[in-house]
Amino acid sequence: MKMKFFEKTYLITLILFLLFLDVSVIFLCIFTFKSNIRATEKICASESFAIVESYGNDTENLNHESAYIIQLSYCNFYDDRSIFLRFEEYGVESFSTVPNGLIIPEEGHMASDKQDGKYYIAVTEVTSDGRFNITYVKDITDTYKEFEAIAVWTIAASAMVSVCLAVVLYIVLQKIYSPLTRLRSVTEQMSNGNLNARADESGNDELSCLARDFNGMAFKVSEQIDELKSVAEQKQRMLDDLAHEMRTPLTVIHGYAEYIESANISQDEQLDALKYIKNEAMRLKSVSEILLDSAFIREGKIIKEKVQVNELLKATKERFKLRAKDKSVEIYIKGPSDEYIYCDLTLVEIVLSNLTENAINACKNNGRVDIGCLSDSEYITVYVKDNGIGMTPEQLKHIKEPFFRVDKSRSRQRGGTGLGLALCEVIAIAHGAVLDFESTNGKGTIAYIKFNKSYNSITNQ
Amino acid sequence: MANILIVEDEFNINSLISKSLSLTGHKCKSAYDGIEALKIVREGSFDLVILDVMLPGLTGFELIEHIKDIPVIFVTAKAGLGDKLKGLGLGADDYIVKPFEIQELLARVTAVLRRVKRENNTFSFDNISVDFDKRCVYRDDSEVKLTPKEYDLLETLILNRNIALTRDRLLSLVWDMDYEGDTRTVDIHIQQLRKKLGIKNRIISLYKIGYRFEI
Repeated sequence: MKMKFFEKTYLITLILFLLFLDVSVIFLCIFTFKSNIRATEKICASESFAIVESYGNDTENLNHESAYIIQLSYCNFYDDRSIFLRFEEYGVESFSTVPNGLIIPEEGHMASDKQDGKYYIAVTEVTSDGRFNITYVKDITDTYKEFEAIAVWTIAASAMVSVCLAVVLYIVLQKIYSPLTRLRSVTEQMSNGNLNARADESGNDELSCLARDFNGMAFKVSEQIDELKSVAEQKQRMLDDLAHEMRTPLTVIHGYAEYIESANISQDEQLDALKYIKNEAMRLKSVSEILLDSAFIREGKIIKEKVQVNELLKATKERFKLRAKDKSVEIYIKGPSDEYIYCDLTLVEIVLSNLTENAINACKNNGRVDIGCLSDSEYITVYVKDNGIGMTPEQLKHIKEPFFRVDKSRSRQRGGTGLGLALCEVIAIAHGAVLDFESTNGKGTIAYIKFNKSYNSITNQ
Repeated sequence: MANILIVEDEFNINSLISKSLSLTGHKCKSAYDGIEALKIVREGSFDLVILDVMLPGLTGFELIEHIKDIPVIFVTAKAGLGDKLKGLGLGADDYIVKPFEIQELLARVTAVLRRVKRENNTFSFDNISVDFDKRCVYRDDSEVKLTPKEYDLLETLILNRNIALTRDRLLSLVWDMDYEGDTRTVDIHIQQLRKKLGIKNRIISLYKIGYRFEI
């Protein structure tokens, strides 16, 4: 099983702490015990010295019997205080209350011994005249017992401390780690596909910084994914529209072919049917050409040259002279004559032709179309303005979408593909320009392309 | 046979449907937008309306609400299941998605007309009369014994009159789609029909194509 970082930290801290705590408690106990024993030994030594001294004084010049009697009274006196004495006179034991079997140290020495669960310290001293050897034995079991009690208490206390420590440490660590845990749950959510999950950024420590960085990263990622999604959606919509758009010509082509093949019809009718088939085939061809062109332009395969705007407008007017005359529409050229733009001439001509044709088609009889250019410090704007039927805001919103037609049946009868303005927009974007429209229903439309002057110069130096 | 209104803003398709239906003896009228269609529906009497969905003026879905007691077949490029369900839910009798084949359209028109039009379910030509309900054929008022397949073949030819049918198409329409028969089967049955009914001049052999019942 994989251990979590939190558990690792917790266990390592706890074990280290308990180890140090217990080791120091043990050392403390041992040290206390040793110093207790040493103090007891000192007391024993001084007591035994005092006894020997006073016995030596008491028995000075006394004979054996008197000394013996004093020995008895000493023993009686000290027996109550757990002190046992043994007297030797000239190397022969004269009296003893020391329990049998205990070690009797040599004179001037100290020894400790244990018997029947009791602890003893023994000291042998000689009186100053050298007549008596006195062995002092003290029962120090109480000191041991005391120490044992202290040891038990210390262990219990350290166990309690350990438990408290474990709990407190757990809570504290949990608190410290909670931002990390939350961050982790957020990353988990994100990896499960919820790109809107965000981490809590409160605080000032490294974890908050991490959370902030993480959120920044998540924002960038979801932004890019949204962008990809919208591009994909746009492509899908375009594809759906294309499939839909192919159906009509295909129905006509297939239907009339079937009709010619199977019906008993006159040659005139056959020719009519063939004309329909050819028209629809041409439409399919121009749709595919425009799509192919758009793909090329999108890839940036355009060749820019310096083009005088005025020349461009004149050429456009020339091209539409006949169409305009047919509909009794006048075309006027407006604006300064010395402006120029860097562009792919063929492509910009396509845009202008599309816009002008739309403008002429929108005009009623005796209409008027102005094509011209405006210049300020930043932009050169080429516009096509008509006083035709105009568009509703709803139509205006959709006109740049592929296959959208303001007047579907009339556009199709003229052989329109519904791709004109979509292509114009692609061309405008390839030039770093903006294509836009303003229209009032019933009053007319202005279409304009804004060329950026700085973009022009930068990309051509 | 029947009075049919075709509402379709695509001129080419409108005339294609109209021409094809006229071949099989129907009388057709064309409308190119929703509002025009509504006016025509209210004025005339029609047995069937063929309706596009995306129309200028009124959409097909809006228009069908105003069409009472006349069967409607939608013919549209909207191929989504949602649109199909919506169209049929609004009371359409059938829903055909573009691009369609003319013969499919004819078959569905015939099916809808037969479903709603109970009377006059016979077809007569020359000295022959066919009762579609009884599945009987009479020549000079006396019944001619046809095998079931011969009858099906005759009915198919009549319903697709003036339209050429390939042997394969006949095989799939009369026998069934999975029939692995020889196209010779078709020829033999055609010969039988010609002999039994004496209609050699009506069932025309078309070189490299198949047969056409002309009237």
